[in-house]
Amino acid sequence: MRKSTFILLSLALCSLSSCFEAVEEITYMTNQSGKYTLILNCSQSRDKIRALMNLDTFMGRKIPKLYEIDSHLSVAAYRLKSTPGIHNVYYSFDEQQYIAVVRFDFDSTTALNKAIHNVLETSSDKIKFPYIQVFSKKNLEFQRINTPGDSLIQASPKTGIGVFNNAKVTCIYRFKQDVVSSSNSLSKISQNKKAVMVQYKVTDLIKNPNLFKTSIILK
Amino acid sequence: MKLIYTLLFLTISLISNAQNAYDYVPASAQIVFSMNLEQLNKKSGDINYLKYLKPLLKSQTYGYYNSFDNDGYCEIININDVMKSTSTYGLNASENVIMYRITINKTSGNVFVFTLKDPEKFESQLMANCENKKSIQKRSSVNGVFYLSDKSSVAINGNIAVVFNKDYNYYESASNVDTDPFDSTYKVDKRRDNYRVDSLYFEKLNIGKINNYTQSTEDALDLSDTNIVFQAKQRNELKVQALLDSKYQDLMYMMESFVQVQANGIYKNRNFSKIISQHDDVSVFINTSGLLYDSKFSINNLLWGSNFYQDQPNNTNQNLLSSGINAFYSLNFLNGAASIQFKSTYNDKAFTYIKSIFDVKQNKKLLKYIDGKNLLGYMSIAVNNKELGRFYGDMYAEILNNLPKSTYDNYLENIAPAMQLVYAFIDKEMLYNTIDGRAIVACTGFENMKVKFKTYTYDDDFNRKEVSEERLEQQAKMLAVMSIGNYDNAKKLFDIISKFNVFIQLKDNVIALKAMHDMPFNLYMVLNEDALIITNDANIALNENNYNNINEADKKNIMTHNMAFNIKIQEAMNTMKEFYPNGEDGGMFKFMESYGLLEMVDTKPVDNMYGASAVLHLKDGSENALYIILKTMRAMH
Repeated sequence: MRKSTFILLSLALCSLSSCFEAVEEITYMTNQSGKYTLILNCSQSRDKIRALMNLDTFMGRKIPKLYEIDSHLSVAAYRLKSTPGIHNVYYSFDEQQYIAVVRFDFDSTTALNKAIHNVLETSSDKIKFPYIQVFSKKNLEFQRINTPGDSLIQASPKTGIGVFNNAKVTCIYRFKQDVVSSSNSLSKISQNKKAVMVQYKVTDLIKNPNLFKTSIILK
Repeated sequence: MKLIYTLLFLTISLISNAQNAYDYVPASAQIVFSMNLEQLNKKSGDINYLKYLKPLLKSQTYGYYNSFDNDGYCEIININDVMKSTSTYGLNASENVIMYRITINKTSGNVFVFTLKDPEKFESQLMANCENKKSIQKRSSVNGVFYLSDKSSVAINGNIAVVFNKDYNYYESASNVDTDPFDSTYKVDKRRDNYRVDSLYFEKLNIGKINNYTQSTEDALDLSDTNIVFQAKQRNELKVQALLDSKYQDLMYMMESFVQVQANGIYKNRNFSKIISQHDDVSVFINTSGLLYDSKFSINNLLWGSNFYQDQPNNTNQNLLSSGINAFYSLNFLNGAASIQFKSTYNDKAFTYIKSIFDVKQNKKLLKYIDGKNLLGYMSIAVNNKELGRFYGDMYAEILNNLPKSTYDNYLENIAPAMQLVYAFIDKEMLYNTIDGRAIVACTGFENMKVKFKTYTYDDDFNRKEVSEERLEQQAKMLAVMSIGNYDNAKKLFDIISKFNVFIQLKDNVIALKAMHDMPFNLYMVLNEDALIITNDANIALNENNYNNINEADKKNIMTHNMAFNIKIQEAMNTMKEFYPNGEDGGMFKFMESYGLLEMVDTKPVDNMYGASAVLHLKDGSENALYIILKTMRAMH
């Protein structure tokens, strides 16, 4: 399958299934290095997805096959492994529950940004994703500046987003230091003050990708 | 009085001479597709319906690598543009546009027949999008004006224009004219010239005029007669031109025949004349038996996926069950409804089978198992299984016996006796009379079903934990109820099936297949004296039900037709609306709510014909069905 269509097809599969949950976790082990985890959980819609996977196309959209999803994940993992400053890359795809997990360690926030950019590049050879700094970590400030898929979200049709009504995204950022404050009004600070969690509805993110922007001040 | 006779004569003459595009379709056409552009344009409103017909209307048929010739792109005409801008092309949109598929010897393709209001306007639009006009040959004859090219050709004769989009065929392609410019004449001339050059060289050598041997041998080459190569190339060009002319001449003959009223036209096909209607929005006529034995759709293709046996003579045996089978579909869009008619014709021999297949009524006892109060849709079928088996058995035996004899694969000849051998061992009573061919499949509403899924919970420090949760999903309550011909046979089979360890015996006559990974519901099989029931509805499986509450209209459809199909879209949408999120903009379901009911019933087999008609009813009778269907399709894409 052409890479250009992969990201759109995967999104199509998710959109057709309507219920999915994405989890992004960044855990800083030191001031700069840490662990990154991304989970796409379509378990709620697995029966619908299973039915869809039996089709080649649905409503004019091509349905990716399991081997295509697996092959794309392995390409993405290879790009991650070859990114300087990225180690211990792990990925899995649960074909029963339709849960994809990507996990790796990063040496610095710059390496993390490059890794995200490299993975995005493998998802499309048509859409050019300019390199953008997604995360920034200065001594006492962590920022989510941009959304890597901004251009994709902006290009997606704003009509028909009702199918995403039950889809949600959870972002969790953990630090060694205590959190003083978070700029995002949707964010919550953990009881031990070491983590911030932000939960979004996908429909809100499509309407306003700026909701992703978060600035966290550390002690 | 004389005046009246004269007027009457003139009227009759005019009627008898009145021609339509079908007159230009030869009897050998395999598929004939007709569209009334005026009606479709009017009914589709502001939505471009042609984009959904792209595969059919593409200007280039399959097989060509791309649209570019070596000298640049050239398209004589774009079919899609013609359909879209009928006035720009001078088309008479009130007349049907016909597209048919044809194979003549090794050439095949799609032919479009347009009726013109203004032929000059049509001709002026040809080659508007053409960089390399040299690749098109324009010719004229008493039969019209012709624009010929390798891929697509156009003929205009009076108010009829024909466009032929030829399928790619390497050996027939004009761009593959392969000739050797260095022919035997060139070889003789060249040898003679070499002797001449050698003589001159040796003469110089003998008189001691050559000092530098290397230089002198190179100089000797300059003495060669360059005219020999020039003449060879010239001869070759003439040869290529002659070959091209011959290929184009064949194309020209073909185009001349396409643009004339056909002496052996499709109207000569008795079945076509019997079932065609001039006034449909869209219609398709399929010459099934022609397709079975001819061309790219041949039985050889179906069996071997290639044209390996294409050179085999076509089967001309007209006394086969499959000969004379034609199918006709017509589609009409009205305000508040869209209707599809299907008719199929059979020869006398086949029709006796068809009549006996459908000479059976639905089993009334099956109705009691269906909850008519919550009925959302059903499909009822009543056929004589034994006769159906006999028909297909005999037809396939005939097809296999008439396969081309090949020296390459003599095992082909063994297929028919092998099948007969297997058939001889089969217990026909068990095969045809256990389930006797009468069945109803119904959907009787939705019920909530608990579905487990994985999600995450977070503690106070936002540590993630994967947990299993349950949510309610709606599942259609489906039921297939089949009439039992011989209970003892059915019981015997049921008892054998019950022994498989995937089934759980719930009652003496009820077994269940527990929900599993790929089937998230329990499936029950119930054997009663009069019916075998397969359902996912535990209530039907485990309780004695005697509904008998199907409304009179549905009951009549089921009992008086051999095939009846009905989906109560409106009721189904009302139930599913809560389950499928519509979103703020309504999504696809907003448009689906415009539909009321889809129903289909068959017609009794009479006059060597059997058919069916389906109607899609809209909720609102004031809007045209085509517009609403296109709106839904737009929302889906």
